[in-house]
Amino acid sequence: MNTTNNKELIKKGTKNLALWTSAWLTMLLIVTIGPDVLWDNDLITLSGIVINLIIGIVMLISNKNLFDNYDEFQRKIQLESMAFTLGLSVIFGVLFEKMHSSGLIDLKPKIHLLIIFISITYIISLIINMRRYK
Amino acid sequence: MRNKVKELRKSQNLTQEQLADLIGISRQAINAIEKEKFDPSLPTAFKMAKLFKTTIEELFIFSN
Repeated sequence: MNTTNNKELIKKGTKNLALWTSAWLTMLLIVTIGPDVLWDNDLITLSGIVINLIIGIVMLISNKNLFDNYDEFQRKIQLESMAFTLGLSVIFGVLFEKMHSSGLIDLKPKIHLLIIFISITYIISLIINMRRYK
Repeated sequence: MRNKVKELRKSQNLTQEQLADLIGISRQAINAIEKEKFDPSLPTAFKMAKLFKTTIEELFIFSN
């Protein structure tokens, strides 16, 4: 394995993933606001959902390709961050839902809040893990 | 796990970047191994031992 070549692959893979993630988020936004603002046709909405699903699958594949180019140390950092994020998301997701159902908070547990929580937790745990092994 | 990677790397006048290129892992991984915060996989340990013309037991010191 040549690491110079691998660095290029990781750089390319990261750009690729960023591109597909942006495309997926854009499509998600269009599908979310489209039926209320842009069109009034179920077929267009369904087409948008299918396109969003396809872009989502491509995004997953590019993430896997990027992961395959990481070395054992980078994989360890990524996996630890993912495990931490998954654990916290389940704990806080359930806690949030219980607090809402018991009337302690008014804010409804919606999926976008979970996605924001997952994103922030993942970024923070990546930073913490990278510092831990420095 | 304790190891002699830094010692042997310096004896061969290699930078972490150069060693990383020769072994096929990132510089960050070499740094973490040298600081004994990360234990490499068996293939990486073999590559290192071969590069430094030593054995894995000499390079990595196992202790409970």
